[in-house]
Amino acid sequence: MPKSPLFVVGAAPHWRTRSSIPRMNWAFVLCLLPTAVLGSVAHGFGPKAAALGATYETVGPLVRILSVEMGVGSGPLWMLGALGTLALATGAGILAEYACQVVMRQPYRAHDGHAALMGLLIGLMLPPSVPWWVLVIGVFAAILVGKAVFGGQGSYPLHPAAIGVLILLASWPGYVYPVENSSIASAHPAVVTVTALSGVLLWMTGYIRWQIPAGVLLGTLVTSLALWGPLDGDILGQFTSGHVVLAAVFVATDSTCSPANRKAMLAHGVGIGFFVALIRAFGIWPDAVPFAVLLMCILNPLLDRWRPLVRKVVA
Amino acid sequence: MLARDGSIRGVAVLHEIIHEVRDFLSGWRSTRYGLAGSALPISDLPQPPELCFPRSSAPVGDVGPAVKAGDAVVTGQALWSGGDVLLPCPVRGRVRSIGSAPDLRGGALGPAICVEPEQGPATPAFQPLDPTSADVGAVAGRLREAGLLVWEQEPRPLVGALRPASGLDALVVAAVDREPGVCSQIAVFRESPSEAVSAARLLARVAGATALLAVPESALADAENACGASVRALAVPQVYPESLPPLLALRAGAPGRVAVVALDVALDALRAVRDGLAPSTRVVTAIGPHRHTAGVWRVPLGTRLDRVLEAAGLHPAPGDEILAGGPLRGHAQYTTQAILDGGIDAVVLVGSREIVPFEPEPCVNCGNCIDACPIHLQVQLIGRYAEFGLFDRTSEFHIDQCIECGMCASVCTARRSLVQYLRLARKELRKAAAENAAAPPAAPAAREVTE
Repeated sequence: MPKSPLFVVGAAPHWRTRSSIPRMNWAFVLCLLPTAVLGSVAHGFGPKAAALGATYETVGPLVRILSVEMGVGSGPLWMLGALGTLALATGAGILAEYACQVVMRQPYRAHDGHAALMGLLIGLMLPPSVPWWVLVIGVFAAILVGKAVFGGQGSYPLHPAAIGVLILLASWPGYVYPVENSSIASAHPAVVTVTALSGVLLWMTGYIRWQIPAGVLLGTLVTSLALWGPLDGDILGQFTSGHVVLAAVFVATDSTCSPANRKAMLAHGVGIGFFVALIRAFGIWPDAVPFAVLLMCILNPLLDRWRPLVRKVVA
Repeated sequence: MLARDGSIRGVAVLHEIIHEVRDFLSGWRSTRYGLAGSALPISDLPQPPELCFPRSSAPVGDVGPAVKAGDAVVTGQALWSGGDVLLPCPVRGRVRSIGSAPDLRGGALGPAICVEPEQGPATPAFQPLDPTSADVGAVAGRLREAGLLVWEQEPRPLVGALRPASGLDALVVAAVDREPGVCSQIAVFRESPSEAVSAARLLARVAGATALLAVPESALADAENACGASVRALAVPQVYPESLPPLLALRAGAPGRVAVVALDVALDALRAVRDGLAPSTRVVTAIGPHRHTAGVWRVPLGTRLDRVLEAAGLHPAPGDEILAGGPLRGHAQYTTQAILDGGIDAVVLVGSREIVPFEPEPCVNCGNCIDACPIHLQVQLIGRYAEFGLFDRTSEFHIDQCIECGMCASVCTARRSLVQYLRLARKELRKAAAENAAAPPAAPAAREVTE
């Protein structure tokens, strides 16, 4: 037989989508960037953020060195306040993932962007005034307790970012929900609007289904209309304050802890919306989103039993 | 930005970035495969100096060579035979040798009979019969003599498919191509719709069933014009995998009561009966890089792959993937010396940059496979059970209904080899069933909640 060049031999199907787990995660992170930047802007420029809190203090000396001693203008540094918080959270996520994989002797895959996404989500759900050590503890707890112990992406039953925020909420409620400050993602209605628009972009890329965000928004709307009295009739405020829109687009849609069937996805979303409004109306915590997400994550293996009928091709 | 050879590759990098952004924004939504509704004209590939007929192009069973090296063979003479099966020689010529050739489906080397054809027009091999009035038994005998096969996962005799013990309600002749990008069957249909209708009528007469001609939706009007009273046109949505035989059968009638025969096989049957010709060619679509259809060729049976690639202007380089069969169910070949047989309707070249590797990733439950599955199987669960060896759990999820179309794996975010996981589970279940049949059974209770 004549010599033939070396061909690649693979299994069917040979035409396949080029999307992958890292691409999906980084698409989420990319779509979160407008929210992050606008949230930081809404929290004010560097000096204002410095007045607000402690993260800026840690980068403050660096700012001084750069701007005063090295002559870098203050222009590029104006957003360091809240963006510094987010950068710290994202970096801590990647580092936590890497550390867990070193300790657990697993293949390194921190570059797949999932830990970065979790860190960024935690950062967005906290105010920029949170001390850096609280933030880092929250992110490490989320990655370790929420993700690594279950076996990483694809295996965890509860959303790691929600777990991280809840651990911080239970441990340092004063830092997580300070009276005079809001989180980065809920800084201004414009930030919430941008988050919703990024959600549309994410839907167009095909990484999320419309059923979950629509379900969350619908569930929140219907339940808060039903609970008009306890919520003081503030229906619009249910969406523009707190993290309902962020959760609808970026948290509830996490593929690992949401259902895989379309109808179950809708039920999952509606359930989250329902619990958000219910906990806000009668609960003692300022925000209900992490609780609602975790509650529905627990239910989702059950929801996933709501399957489409199988087409019988074999008698 | 320097390539290994030291040249500057700025343009290539820019190209890569553009591709990356496009892929990034594509998600699963780009993964819808349309089916051809029109075709390029068919060109004839000249007879090569040597034709090979590997053992693997005949059904499994006790089949051996019926000729020796140096024998003169005539058209229609059996090359391989045994039991109910024979493979007739499509040409007149001389057996050069009994060598070896790789199996298209698996790559194992097996015996192959190499024939040196004499040039000249095709001569009838059999006594012509009248397709409308000849005795059904005689026609069935002719189909057996002509070695006609139905090609699904593996070849089996056409007569067996047409006349199962339980009988048939309907016979579907598929003028729709099974896979995306392929336009072989539709090209054959466009050449002569009336022949397609006659072929459907003939096979339905043998099967004692209603005749249907399955065509792509866009060709429905032409098909209805050609169909007489005895044959009905069946429009098929031009989306893969609606064209696969199990789904065509579902469209035509009750499961298990419908047979599906590809149009080219049906036309071979018509010519074997009406004109006494042995099947000698196969219409093959060549698909090049970037999923571009390069052309449609009428290829003599027993031709090597490289002749088709050459005719289509496709030049595989090291690192490319060449496929015999369609892009979703075809088989990768390690050599262009592989020999085309009757089951191949496409040759695909996948460029090295377009190959997406399978990854050993865990399932992330994204649900793409459920959306893509034409049967609505819970592929994400079945895949995980199969991965961890829990094969009996997979049977609770209707794994027996899988048609192996490959849509699940083609949209998988985690790039898991889902089709192979499902095949593994089905194989293990069959094995367990065979063992259970020998020993007393202990069937697990199957529980299922559906809407």
